[in-house]
Amino acid sequence: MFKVILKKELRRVFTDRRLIFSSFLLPALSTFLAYTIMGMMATSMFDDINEHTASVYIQNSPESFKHYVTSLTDDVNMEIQWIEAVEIEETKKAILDGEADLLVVFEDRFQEKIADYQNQAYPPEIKTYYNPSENYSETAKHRFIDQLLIGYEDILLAERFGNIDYSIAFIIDETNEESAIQNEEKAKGKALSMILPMIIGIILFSSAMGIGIDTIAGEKERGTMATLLLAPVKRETIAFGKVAGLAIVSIISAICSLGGILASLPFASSILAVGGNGGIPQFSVGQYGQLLLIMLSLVGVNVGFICLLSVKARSVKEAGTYITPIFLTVMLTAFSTMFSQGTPETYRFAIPVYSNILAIKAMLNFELGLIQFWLTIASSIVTTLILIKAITNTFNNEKVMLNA
Amino acid sequence: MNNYDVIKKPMEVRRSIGFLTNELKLDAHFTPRYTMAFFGQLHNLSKREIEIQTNDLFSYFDIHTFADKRISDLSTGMKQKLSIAVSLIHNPDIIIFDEPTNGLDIITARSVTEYIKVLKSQGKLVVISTHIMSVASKLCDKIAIIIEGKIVAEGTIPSILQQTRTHDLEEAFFYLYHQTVKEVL
Repeated sequence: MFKVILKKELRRVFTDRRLIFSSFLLPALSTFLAYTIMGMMATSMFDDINEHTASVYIQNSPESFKHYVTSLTDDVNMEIQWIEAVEIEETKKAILDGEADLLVVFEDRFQEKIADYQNQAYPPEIKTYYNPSENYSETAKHRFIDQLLIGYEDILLAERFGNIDYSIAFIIDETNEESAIQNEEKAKGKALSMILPMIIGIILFSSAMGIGIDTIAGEKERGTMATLLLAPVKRETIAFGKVAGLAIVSIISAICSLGGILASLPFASSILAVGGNGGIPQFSVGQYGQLLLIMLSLVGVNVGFICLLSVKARSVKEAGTYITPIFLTVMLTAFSTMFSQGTPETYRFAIPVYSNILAIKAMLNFELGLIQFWLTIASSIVTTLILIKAITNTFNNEKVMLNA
Repeated sequence: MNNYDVIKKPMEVRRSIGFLTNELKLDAHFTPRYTMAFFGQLHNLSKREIEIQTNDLFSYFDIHTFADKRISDLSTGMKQKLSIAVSLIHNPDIIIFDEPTNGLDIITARSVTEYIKVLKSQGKLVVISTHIMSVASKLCDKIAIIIEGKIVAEGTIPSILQQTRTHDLEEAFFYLYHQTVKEVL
């Protein structure tokens, strides 16, 4: 009988073009488009910032700096204007309005103080004024320091010591190509673990939500559930059939959504922190198996919650009202794992849903221990069983099932 | 019911009865043919049994013409015919119909009442709940009149008419109604 109910549930979804579109194609397409568009826009934004010709205003510049700037052969992509002190306030306002990017003010008698460095209490100062809220302005400041001031300082120091090398007391990692001691795979995994567990957690729940509500609350509202309950089939069997059907549909829906994300990786590397030099780490078959089990056990918990609340509800609308707070909790839980650092305490792996997302993160970081893994699976299975028991009890309650 | 305790043996009771009420709805996405097969399987019938029973019921109610259309595309009368067929897929011994002709056109209503007679002739126990006294008069051997949730008269039609000293069931009903409501007041 379980098979008959399950087949009917799957047939209901897979023979309905609208459901196929809304449950499988739309999530895949929307995630693909969302990440692709976001990635392309982010890349375009970074490119635009890098290609922007910064408008830099310099006041009180020593001749040596002017000479240094004009002697540069590399294009620094800056439009430099030399201004007088009276123009400072006007330039600051232009920076505030986003019309200018950077103001650089050299201290009075800069050149003399550099030359007389042995008698100076402090080295002369170069002040910069920029707008951190404006990407162009912030980038202009960093580029000005990196591309112009550091090189200019080297020239001054070379003059001071006769040889630029004398101004350097030591070098750091110039010849040490093995400075970074890290597992390349783990490094790739770390990038993935930032955002992917959150996405998986949310997608697995949202993909089950729409169909789950319709499968049970929708059937109650339309009166078809009452017809089904008249058949000589154990209520437990009907409940199991519906839960299993929903689990299968939500897994397929989640796979479609993840497919959409994977397809968007070449375009979304700037926001997903993968692709390009990052890429997907080489996980072992065992690790993929762990990931699959963690996701399946999470589906069990999600489907359990959705089914239980849908059974209790009298209508689709009511079910939506009950399930929305759970969805928000799942979202918060998923977001909370994004910025967590270090190895979480073991007891956290016993908290359903949170543990699954945490375990996915730890797995991607190559840090998931066996105890943590099995604790996650066990807590999910126990929660799912409790929810299924509650669902079957509710299925046996005529008042609730027939909206009496 | 049918020698089974409804509380202790609900499955056996469900296997013995066919139940139809206007409240019962069928999934509008499926076709009549699939719906019959699905409920047949739920009643543990073999493919062959489902085929024979479906064919018989579809022929009687003339469902073959729309057997492969979606239920959402059917008229109220077509849906009601299908609902009756679904409730009888397992050939139950006891059939309970709640207002079986409600909302039906006259031709469909006639085919339903005729089928109830067929069931009766097959020796099935058919229980009908109706407000239409002409339907009750035509179909029922025994009648129980329920007013204010209580059975106020029970027996064959002649015995009820004799008891109420009336000439037809509708008169008998109103006689009993006035009696009961007076008592209540």
